[in-house]
Amino acid sequence: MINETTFQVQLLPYAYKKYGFWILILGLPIVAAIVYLFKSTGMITDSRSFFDEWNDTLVYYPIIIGMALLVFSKEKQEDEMVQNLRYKAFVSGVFFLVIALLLLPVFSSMVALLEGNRIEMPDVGGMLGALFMLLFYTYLSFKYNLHRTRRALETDEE
Amino acid sequence: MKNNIKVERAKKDLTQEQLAETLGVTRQTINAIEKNKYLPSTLLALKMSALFGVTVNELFILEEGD
Repeated sequence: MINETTFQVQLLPYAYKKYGFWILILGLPIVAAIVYLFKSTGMITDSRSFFDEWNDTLVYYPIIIGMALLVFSKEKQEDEMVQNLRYKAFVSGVFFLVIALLLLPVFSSMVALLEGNRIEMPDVGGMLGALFMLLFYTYLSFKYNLHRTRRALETDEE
Repeated sequence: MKNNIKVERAKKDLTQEQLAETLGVTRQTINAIEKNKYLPSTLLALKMSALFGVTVNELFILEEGD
């Protein structure tokens, strides 16, 4: 019954991690070059929206695609224990994202009050910013726990 | 929960690596199960049970508080 109602996400092969890294490394310079090209042809008049606004969609796209490829690709040695760690990383990632999104405006308002400024709703980077935070945390948390588990078990080898 | 995997593995004269290869998991996973740091899925427990020729209840023993 669970299998009938739950969408089964198949992880990508391990090789896709490599593509994720390359997109992360080369994505931003390529997007910057595209924006420069658009500006030089007059399609974009003000490039500050790319360079100054971190939440610009163009900037986030290569980062999110790269991070998603890292998160949704299999490990070199993927088995049920690795999948268990991956599941835990996703659950804790969603949990901390909810907490962060709820607390960020409160924290920002407190800082604004202490500084004697007007309280305004802070910009948390929109949907893409939240997605980036989730993917970034999930990947780091998963890799850290996997490394720690494997290291502990390597030393215990019998 | 405790388990007798190490004992059963020794009876069959298998290394962790050999057992892992037979079951299609990593050696670290076998090590983690033997040390009660990871609880295997039902499928893996049944595969172990079939391989060692014992019941799952003989492989994995519930303790008080489980």
